[in-house]
Amino acid sequence: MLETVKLSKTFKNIKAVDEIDLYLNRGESVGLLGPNGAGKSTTISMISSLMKPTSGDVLLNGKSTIKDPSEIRKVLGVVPQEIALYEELSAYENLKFFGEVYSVDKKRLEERIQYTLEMVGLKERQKGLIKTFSGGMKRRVNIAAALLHEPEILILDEPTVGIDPQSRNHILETVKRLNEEQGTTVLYTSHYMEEVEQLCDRVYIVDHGKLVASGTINELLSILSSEDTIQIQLSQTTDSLIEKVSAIDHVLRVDETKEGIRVISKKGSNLLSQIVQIAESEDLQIVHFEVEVPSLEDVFLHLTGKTLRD
Amino acid sequence: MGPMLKKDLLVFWRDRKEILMALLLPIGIIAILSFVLSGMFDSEESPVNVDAALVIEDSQDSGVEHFANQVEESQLSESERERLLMQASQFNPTTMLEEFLNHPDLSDWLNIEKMNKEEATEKIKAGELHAAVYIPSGFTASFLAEVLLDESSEATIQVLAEETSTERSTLGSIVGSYVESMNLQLAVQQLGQTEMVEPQLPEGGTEHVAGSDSDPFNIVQYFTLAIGSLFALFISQTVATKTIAEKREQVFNRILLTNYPPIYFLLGKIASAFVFVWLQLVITILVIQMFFDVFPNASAEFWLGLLLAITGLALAVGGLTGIFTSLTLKMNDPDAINGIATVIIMTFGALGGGFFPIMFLPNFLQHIGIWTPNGKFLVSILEWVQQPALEDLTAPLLYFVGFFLVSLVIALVMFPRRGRNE
Ligand SMILES: Nc1ncnc2c1ncn2[C@@H]1O[C@H](COP(=O)(O)OP(=O)(O)O)[C@@H](O)[C@H]1O
Ligand SMILES: [Mg+2]
Repeated sequence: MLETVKLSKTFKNIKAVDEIDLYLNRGESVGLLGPNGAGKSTTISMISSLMKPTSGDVLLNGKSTIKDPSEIRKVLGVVPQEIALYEELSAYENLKFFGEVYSVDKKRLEERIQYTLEMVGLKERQKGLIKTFSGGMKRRVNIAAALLHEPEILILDEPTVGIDPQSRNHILETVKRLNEEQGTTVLYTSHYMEEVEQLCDRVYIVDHGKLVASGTINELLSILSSEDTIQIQLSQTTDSLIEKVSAIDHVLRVDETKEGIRVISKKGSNLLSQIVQIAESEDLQIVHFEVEVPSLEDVFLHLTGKTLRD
Repeated sequence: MGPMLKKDLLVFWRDRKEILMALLLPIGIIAILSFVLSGMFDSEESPVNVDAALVIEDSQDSGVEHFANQVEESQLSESERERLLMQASQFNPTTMLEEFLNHPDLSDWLNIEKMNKEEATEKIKAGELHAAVYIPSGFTASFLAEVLLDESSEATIQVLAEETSTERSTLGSIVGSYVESMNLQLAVQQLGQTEMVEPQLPEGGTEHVAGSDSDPFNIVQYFTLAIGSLFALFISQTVATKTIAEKREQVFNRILLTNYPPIYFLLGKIASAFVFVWLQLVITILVIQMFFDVFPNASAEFWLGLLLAITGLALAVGGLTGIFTSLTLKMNDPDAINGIATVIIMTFGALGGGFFPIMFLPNFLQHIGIWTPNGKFLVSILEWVQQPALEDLTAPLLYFVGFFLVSLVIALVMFPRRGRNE
């Protein structure tokens, strides 16, 4: 139902978003992953009509939303990356205000406020001023404010950054319920891979404004299916050890880790005996040895050269 | 626009510091000034008893004559000259001061006797008198020239005494305040002058020992209105620059996510500034009235007119708020926005008599000053105090509406088109 076509945004000389194509089908839950500065927030701003694209288009049910964004504003709920609430007002007053701004019918609004507060688990705290809330509580109200007008599509821009585990679980539960029980289409941006794995059917990975991969989680994992990752914990690491391990057939890459080394090799190449031999010849003990099943995190690392959280 | 107004009012209400600034500060400043100024005239409790001489070397008639010659020689238009001469002929500073010093209110503690300078000096030397009020020759001429023609004055009233004493300084401040309020009054009449109106002078001029009568205005009234309207101006900055926080905290973007017309955001700011200024002035003046009886025996008509003028000023400040709000949305540097707003408000404040009496400004500045919203409010009400006639308020009210409309147009023109254009 929602689609971007070669969506691009250039700030002065930075190409923040570079010809991104993505689509959301009705009822889907889709993840948008990328390191800091990848262009996720900028993409969301353009989809939600806050920012005009330099080029490209955003289509809602096949119709461009650039000239007339009134339709997409009606069906879209956006949870911004920053907490966008009045600190001096209570949770209830904030929701009332934004509900009125969304022109939700008066009677309906009262129900919606109570419903969304219930959903994010803050019904009892609705009279509290936002400035007295913890980061996690603020984030939950931030989400409630995007749900008042019963959006068909919900976009969340890193909604769980820097909050307590309880609030985080609450948020994940809320999004899951919205998607599964109410059929809300979700675009979820996060730094936390496990959240995306848990919530999303499909994932887009962006870096430097460009789409670098997309597909279901299984499809993305298969990118790495031709490789094995072996974590080896050693009593000590030496340069000559790394050199010798690198020289083994089928080894693609050796990195030094905190506790030893990480070896990436072609799938199924049984290296154990060779590595044990080398370690013995170097007079080093192998403390622990583990062949890892690749995770989305590894896919991400493989594609962008960065881990998600830095 | 309703939600915007409600939100702004609530946010403001929660910010106790702002409320303190907007209410306690003007009330406090006015109260302190009133206390200090009215204390000076508190004759009943005065422990001092002053024996003084009044020495008049000035001649009223030759003074007016001298002034008339000066006017004839000037470049002024015929009607202007006529007006000045008429004002001069009705304004007798020396007689007024003499009557004032002999006023029964002062007689409890001030014994004043007319005599010539030698006699007075001798008696002071002998310790029979505390001091003498000395009105030198040429005083009337130079007083009129100073106030009406804006020339610097040569002859001033002096208080003669052997040594400094409480008695001497009491007499000094009484005379000083009185001359100042004559000054004020005449200058304000000058300012508000519509060509044909006859200057309204106090009969005999003895009535205005501060606080003792409603006619004509006194210094406490002046400060109440001047400081009240100055603080009203500050509301425009307070309200408009809340927008900076709303942008920073992304709530403005959240409003832009909806189909709600962003222009209502602007109108909401204007409306809330209107409400704040209205409440601020009404509360300030009521409180000051309750404690200091600034406008004693004022008629219902007077209060109605004052309320109308407050409404007008609130509207004008609303317009100003609109301009500042658009500016805030257009520019991204909070310091620059605050700087611009402060400069504009301070300029209006200074020109409109918020920092020092408007009549002490150079003539041309006075004439600019009455076109600032606060200056217009101040001068209209000071005239209104003396003679409440509803039609006199038509012009200032039209001015306020005009100021509002012009500001509104500027604000709308500057208001950025919907945020999609970054
Ligand atoms: N308003 C702006 N002006 C200039 N550059 C910007 C602006 N907004 C974002 N950028 C730049 O665009 C790039 C993408 O930013 P953003 O979309 O916020 O990334 P993400 O949300 O993925 O962390 C960054 O390099 C950022 O510095
Ligand atoms: Mg971001």
